[in-house]
Amino acid sequence: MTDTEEKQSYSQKLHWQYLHYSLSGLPGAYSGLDTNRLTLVHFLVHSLSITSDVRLFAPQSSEVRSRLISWILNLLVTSGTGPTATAGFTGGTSIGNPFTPFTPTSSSSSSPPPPRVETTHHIAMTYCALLTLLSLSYDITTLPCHAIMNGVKSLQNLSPGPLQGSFKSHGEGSESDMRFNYCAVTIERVLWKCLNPTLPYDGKDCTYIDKKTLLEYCKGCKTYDGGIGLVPGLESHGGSYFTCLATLSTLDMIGEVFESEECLDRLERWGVRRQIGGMQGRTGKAEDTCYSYWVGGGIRILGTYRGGDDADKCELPEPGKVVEFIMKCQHPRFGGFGKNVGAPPDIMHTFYSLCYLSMSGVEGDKMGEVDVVLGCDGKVGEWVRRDGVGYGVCIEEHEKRMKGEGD
Amino acid sequence: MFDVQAAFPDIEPIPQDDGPHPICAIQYPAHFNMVMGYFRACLATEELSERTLRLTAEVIDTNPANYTAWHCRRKCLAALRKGLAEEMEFTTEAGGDNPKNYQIWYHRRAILDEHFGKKEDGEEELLYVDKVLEEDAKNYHAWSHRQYIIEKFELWDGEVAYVEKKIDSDIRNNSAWNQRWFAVHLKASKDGGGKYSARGEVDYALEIARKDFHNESPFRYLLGILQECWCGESKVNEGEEDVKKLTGEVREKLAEMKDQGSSHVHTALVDIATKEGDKEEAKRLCEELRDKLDVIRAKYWEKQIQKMGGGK
Repeated sequence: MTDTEEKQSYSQKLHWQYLHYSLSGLPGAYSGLDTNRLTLVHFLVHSLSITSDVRLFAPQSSEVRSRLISWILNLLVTSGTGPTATAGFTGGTSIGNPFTPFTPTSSSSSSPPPPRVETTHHIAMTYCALLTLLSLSYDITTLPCHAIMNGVKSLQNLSPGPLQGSFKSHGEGSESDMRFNYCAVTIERVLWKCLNPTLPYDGKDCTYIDKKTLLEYCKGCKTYDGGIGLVPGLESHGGSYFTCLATLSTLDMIGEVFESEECLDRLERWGVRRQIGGMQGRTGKAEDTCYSYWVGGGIRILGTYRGGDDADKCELPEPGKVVEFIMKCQHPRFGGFGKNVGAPPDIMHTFYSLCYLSMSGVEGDKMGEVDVVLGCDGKVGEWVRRDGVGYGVCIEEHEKRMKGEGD
Repeated sequence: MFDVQAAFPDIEPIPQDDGPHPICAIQYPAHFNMVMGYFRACLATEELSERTLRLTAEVIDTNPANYTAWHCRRKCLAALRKGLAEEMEFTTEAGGDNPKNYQIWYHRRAILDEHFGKKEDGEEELLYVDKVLEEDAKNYHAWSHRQYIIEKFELWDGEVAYVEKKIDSDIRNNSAWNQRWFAVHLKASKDGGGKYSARGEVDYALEIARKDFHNESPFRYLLGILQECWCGESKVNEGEEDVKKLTGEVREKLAEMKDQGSSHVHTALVDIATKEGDKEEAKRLCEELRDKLDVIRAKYWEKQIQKMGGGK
């Protein structure tokens, strides 16, 4: 029996240590994620917010924040000019371009030097960049939002075939599946008020995303056991369960894919069945901390959709047992969480474990809220959903409150 | 072994520029840095050559998820009009240690789409997928690739037999059950139901279910087939089967397994009893699930009982 198997309590300070340490540098074992470093930054910044580490977000820490912001803004890539320009974020600096963070005025006064290498934006990185920038109180309205949506649009598969309606991740030859649909729709949701300052969000809008084929794709991913696969024909999976439900929830179109009560019952049953103590991602597979969020979050979304009072809400049958499993995966000395008991902690599983702990409410005030659908901290989720109020105003109000609390 | 430095005497490697305050800076191994320095230089000069092609292999070896390297590789292959059989070999080798890498699977697909169209090509590719599935019979990427090959090269004829073998070797392999659904339905939609019928599928699932009452997969499959019949949307039941009769027979057969203490038997019976309007029986089954057979989901079953009108 290793020390990780002993019963542990949630250790906020240990996690802060792990998260800050990781932000400053990572061991060589992370080399395989070199092109996706931005996702790691996203997981870490949001983990800090979920663990209520106000230090990073407080006005006094503006220097650390501005370093983070500038590192992320350096990853914005644009192509072309005018109304057909495309933009988006890339995941790291390995491509070899000089460090030139985007500034809102750079396009008008003096143009930045052209990049040495034309590179592609990646839809998951754009998703991470926007939510992380917001979390760090950066007003994303200043970004080339229209061009970013053009970038999203360029990645949707529109020609007939099994992948029609779904999204690729980038323009250099990529697979397409439900994960990227989620990124596309979430990006659209987050940028909506930047592009339509006075209009309430409308999921039916097809300016950039063809919703009809997207919905057809989602329908095609329904499986015989009531779950959802990543690609039409494939086995039901916790990751696609979440990404499909979250996509449809944002669009307010769950009922258009899962048309009957019976269909929704089966969807709930599939999720509920995945609890074997902790959560598994597929029938017959082992438990894994990240599925606490993927499946638990999916069920939460379903519950919210089906409404009713708390008793009627779909929740995991035994949230306490999931928490118990997650706590066994907490590293007792380094902090962070691994995928299963005894596994070394990693950034991705740490983030999703924390998300579930926050959702479950077990740690009460010690944890910040998570926006389950958007996959970010609750504060950002609130800003995104405040139609008609720009991010600038949301951020200003928030900073005032923070200053007030700091006094 | 390809000596990167010796191959590029005329090229100055480009260092990574991570800005004054790098975030999540990775402690790259020295070899990684060296290879990437040359790769950055090749991207900047857009040199599509034999040596760049070999360099991409080094980049991929250090980080198989580097999609730009795979992209660059495809551009080199096109420019050099290289033999593609060799490229599939390279990809197979790269896949060896990374069976769950998205880029490698995508690369195979891109190469196949571009250059291979004959049925034999597809058959050969299936042999590769077989090998990967021998290592890990639940590899999601491999099953996805398999479905793509089967559809592209119209190779559905032997698939049910293949899947049967997979299920035989591990009756709990849910991926294989899903593939059976895929194969039977594809075959039915392409050349009619043929020998696959709702009854046949139900019998098959029941036969395997009897071997292990605690194996969820055959029960879900069974219910999937029935549900399709109930909605009148069955692809493998061309109307000749009396759905009511079939449902009744399944119910009887499941009832015979009731004393096995399996939550899956009970759960399937709940669905069938509900479908047949037998509320009392459905409720009774839910109560047993709640109290004895599926205690971890007690709250869920309690909710089902409430929905049926009444609880404890």
